[in-house]
Amino acid sequence: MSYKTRYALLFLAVPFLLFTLFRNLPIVIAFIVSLLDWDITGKPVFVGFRHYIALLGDDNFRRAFLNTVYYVAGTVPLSIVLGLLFAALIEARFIRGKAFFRTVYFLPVVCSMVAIATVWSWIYNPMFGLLNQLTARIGLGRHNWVADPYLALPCIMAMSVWKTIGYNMIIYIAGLKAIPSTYYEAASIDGASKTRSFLAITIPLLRPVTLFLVIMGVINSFQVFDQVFILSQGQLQDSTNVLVFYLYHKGFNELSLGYASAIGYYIFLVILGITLVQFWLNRRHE
Amino acid sequence: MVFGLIKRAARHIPAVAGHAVLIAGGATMALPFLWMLSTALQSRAQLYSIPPRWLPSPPQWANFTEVWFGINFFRYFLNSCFISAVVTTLSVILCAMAGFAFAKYTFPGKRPLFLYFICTLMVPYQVTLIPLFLVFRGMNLLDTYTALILPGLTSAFGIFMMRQFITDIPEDLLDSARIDGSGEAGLFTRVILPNIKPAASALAIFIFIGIWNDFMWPLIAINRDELKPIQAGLASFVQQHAASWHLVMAGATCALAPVIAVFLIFQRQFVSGIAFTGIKE
Repeated sequence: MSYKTRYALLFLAVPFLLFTLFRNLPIVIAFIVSLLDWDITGKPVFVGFRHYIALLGDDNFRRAFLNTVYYVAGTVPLSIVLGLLFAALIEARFIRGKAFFRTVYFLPVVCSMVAIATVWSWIYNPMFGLLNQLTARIGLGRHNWVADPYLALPCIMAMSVWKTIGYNMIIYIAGLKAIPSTYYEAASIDGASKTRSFLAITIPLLRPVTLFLVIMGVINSFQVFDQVFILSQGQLQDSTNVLVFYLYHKGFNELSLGYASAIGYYIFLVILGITLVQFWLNRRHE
Repeated sequence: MVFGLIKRAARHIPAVAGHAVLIAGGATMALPFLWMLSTALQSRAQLYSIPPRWLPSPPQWANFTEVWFGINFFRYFLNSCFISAVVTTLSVILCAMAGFAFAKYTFPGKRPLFLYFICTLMVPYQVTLIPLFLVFRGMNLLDTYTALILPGLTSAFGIFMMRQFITDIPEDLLDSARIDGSGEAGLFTRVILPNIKPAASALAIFIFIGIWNDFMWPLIAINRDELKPIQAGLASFVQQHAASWHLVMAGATCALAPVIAVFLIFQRQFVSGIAFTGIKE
């Protein structure tokens, strides 16, 4: 082994060990555990794919899946559209205070979901929350918000959109800056309006950025947990049951380790599937 | 003349409307933070005043002393500082080392090894929660700082990012250092690290914020109150004292302040790092 090779492997030794122990091996272990019936204290029993099959008939799992899909569909497109809107506005020539707006819009992105969700649970408080005081004053009445089964998930979604707009905005701003201004100049010489050149130049050229944001948004939203946990006070409820919460509940409240691991693999498969479909759609489009 | 005035005014409509939309949006972004601060400085009685009071008078600074010392937030805060500092430092060094090996050396099995690190990027972190729990339980390390530190050291994104930036360092720079008698380890500390400072600081900020804000793993791995990082501490405090919103908001302020400070100070590095994640596709 050459001197340089030895050094390269030396540099990689610790990361390799850490990845193996705390990332790659656990992924394999998760699959093995998903084939077992095990509550940590007793002896594990091999059950093959029985958990995966049982999950298909589990109403709570179906509920969690549908709620998660609802959450993803309600948050990702809205937060991307608003992100683009604010990015385009902030980058417009006539806007002053660009840096200030960028900072304010981006601020929620860096904040912890736990603290943010805590603040919003106070805003959503049915008795003295800010939101009810506002809706009562403008004639929309008082509501129970997160305590109302129909409103609970939309409330969580609204908060999540509020928190992620800034991320999409920053990525879109980087994308907008990469579009050569000559394109717009040519369009305006040809007599295209601002709206027209936004639709015909900006949006198509931002396509790769949008694809990236859709994929990242879908992947992240499929793993929603912190805000649901905080806003449902750590209690699993039908109305806000989402996949990762269900995994957590089965794994760490009921100690059904095998069952919970199978849920994890289903989440993985769904995410993998969606990503592949999105890539395929994009390639076919080009 | 009137017509001319109208025409001149009409030219400003987009600017006025644009600013109006941005200010309205910005107010929506800022409002929860202001509400948090306002509540954190109110007395218990003022919490329930209708209409809500935005400027607490007099401001109850004692709320902060109460959560800080009365409810262990000081301890949670120190735990988070310690864990974030250790993870950030070690993780950036390890990512840079791995990135260096992949960027500047050729060795057998390089491609498969790189894939070994990167291939798990697609696997959601929650898949590994139960095995991690089992691994740390097996090593008798649940309820320790070690459990909070070790899993944070595996950033595939960090390795990828460092490799990209180290690749751009000219080979000549390394060769001339070698001619000057530097060993390979010396190359890393004297040539690579000083040259990747901007990228490394962006990565450090990412990792710091990620660890500071992490919730699910501490929720699972830590039971003892005195070991809880601040997010887990805040969450358990909320569940126990849900009605004391003034104290809860003071706690939330403590949990947010450091990341907001880091973000405001290092905004430029942070935003350029974010832009890198967008371009990497």
